[in-house]
Amino acid sequence: MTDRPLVIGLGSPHGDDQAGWLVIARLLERGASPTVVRAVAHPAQLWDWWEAGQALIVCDLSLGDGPPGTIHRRVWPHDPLPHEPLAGTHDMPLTEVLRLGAALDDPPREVVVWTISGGQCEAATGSSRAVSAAAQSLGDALWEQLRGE
Amino acid sequence: MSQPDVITVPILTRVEGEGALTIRLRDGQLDDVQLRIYEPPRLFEALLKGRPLEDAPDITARICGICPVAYQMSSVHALERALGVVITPQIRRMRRLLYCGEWIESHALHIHLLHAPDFFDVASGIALAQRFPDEVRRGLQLKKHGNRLLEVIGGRAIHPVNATVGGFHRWPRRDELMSLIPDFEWGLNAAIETARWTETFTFPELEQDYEFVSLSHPDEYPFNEGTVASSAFPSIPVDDFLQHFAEVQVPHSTALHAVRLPQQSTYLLGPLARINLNRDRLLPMARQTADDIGFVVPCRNPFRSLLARCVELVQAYEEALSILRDVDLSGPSRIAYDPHAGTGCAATEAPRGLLFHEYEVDAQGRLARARIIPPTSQNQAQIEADLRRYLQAQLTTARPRDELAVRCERLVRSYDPCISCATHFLKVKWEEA
Repeated sequence: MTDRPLVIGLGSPHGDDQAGWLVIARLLERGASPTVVRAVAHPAQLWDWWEAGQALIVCDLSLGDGPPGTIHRRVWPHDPLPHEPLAGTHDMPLTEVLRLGAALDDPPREVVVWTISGGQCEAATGSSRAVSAAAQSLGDALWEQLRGE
Repeated sequence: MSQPDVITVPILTRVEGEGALTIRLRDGQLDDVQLRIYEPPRLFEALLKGRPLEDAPDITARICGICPVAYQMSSVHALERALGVVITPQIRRMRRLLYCGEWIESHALHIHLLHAPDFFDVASGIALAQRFPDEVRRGLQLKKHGNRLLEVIGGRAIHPVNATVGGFHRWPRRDELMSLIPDFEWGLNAAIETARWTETFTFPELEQDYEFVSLSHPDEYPFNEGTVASSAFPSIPVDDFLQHFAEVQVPHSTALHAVRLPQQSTYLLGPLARINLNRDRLLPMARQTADDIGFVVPCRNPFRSLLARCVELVQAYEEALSILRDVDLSGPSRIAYDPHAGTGCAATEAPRGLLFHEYEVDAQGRLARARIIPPTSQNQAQIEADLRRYLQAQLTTARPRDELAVRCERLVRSYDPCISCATHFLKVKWEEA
């Protein structure tokens, strides 16, 4: 079991939905190891990288969660996660992926979910200025946290 | 006052999303069954028009997050046919290895987390994990192997980016490929254990008189080339596919159905069809596994697709190991070509069945036309036919409708359709005439 937390950025290439990926890009830019910092499209991909017992940090977009760019920190399972619409084939929401880990007696040591509030997720558009700035700021903060661990 | 202009959107294709099932009864008897897919058209073929041909593999891979390699492979083979590009044996083997990764992650996920819960009357993989934690852990591990292989060859697990017309942008690293061997040796045995586990499941009775259709190759289990074989008609070259199969629009689905010509009949694609038509070309351990679990061909029970999928999981591991143990990265990773006008088509075997692509390229190397016929749209009419037959028998049993709905949902799920958001959480609507 590794002591280093796994940082997962959830997202897609569409508008503000890039928020999680932008955080990961910032972490990589600052020098984080690509083995523990991953951009993924579906929560179920978490299984591909997470080791049993490893602490987990998830970065994602949230909708209707304050003005664009608002950052929230939630600790699963104590804090309810934002609404998670199903988005595609064989998709499982993050909560179900985490519950499956718990059912297998392999829950992450700790799960912290960072969300950045955003709005427009149209295809072939960039993220809004507010979300991009928040992602950079969150990436910097996580980098400082990772360096301290 | 003049009539308003008519706006037509003629391209109704690509489905990955939501569907529902409507069952109509008349005097207690089955009147009609409709698998309704209401995902908006995604218009990929129109999106491709006018773009450089090199964009096709990466854009079509976006059609599906679970089988992007299938879209990449069908597109690169079709475009290579259009351009007259002949790839080397080394590139061909690496493409088969890439395809193994996709089959492993897709089949492992479906077997353990999407389909197996149905056989234990539980609602999800989470509930299944409480009863069978070791089996579910094994499934997650197998899925991980598949994705790792995709990442090593394709550059990343979801929507790999390394496949291109003519080959690969670069060869994967030999040391990374070799490092996979211990996991794949474990995985091969785990896949066999999975097959033995599923053999113990109780499968509902349903026999259908299918026309099975899949690619077939004289020397190997079908992945990325071959003729289009059928259990009812002589094999045809892939070039003749559109003369024998056609897409048709139905009012209740935004996805096109497909029918066999000229009789407009349904046909079945996927693991059951592939094994029924190609059992003798399974590799030794996969063939032995089929024997051991009593998989007898022809198998005409759609619920037993789970067993076929397990045999193919063994097949994918066995072939992957064979390639990994004899990696040959000699020669160019990509065959150069000069863009010119041409038309080409190809079919490859996605985890869910035959995926057909056809492209027309103009003299500047731009895509003038694209045609994509995915397996799930081809299977839709057969799913409805199966549901009709299944319900006719079930309605004589006086089972509560809620229970019948659950049983129908399980039948749909046995196809592993790429509308699993809907089919895994299917809403059944009953209508009484």
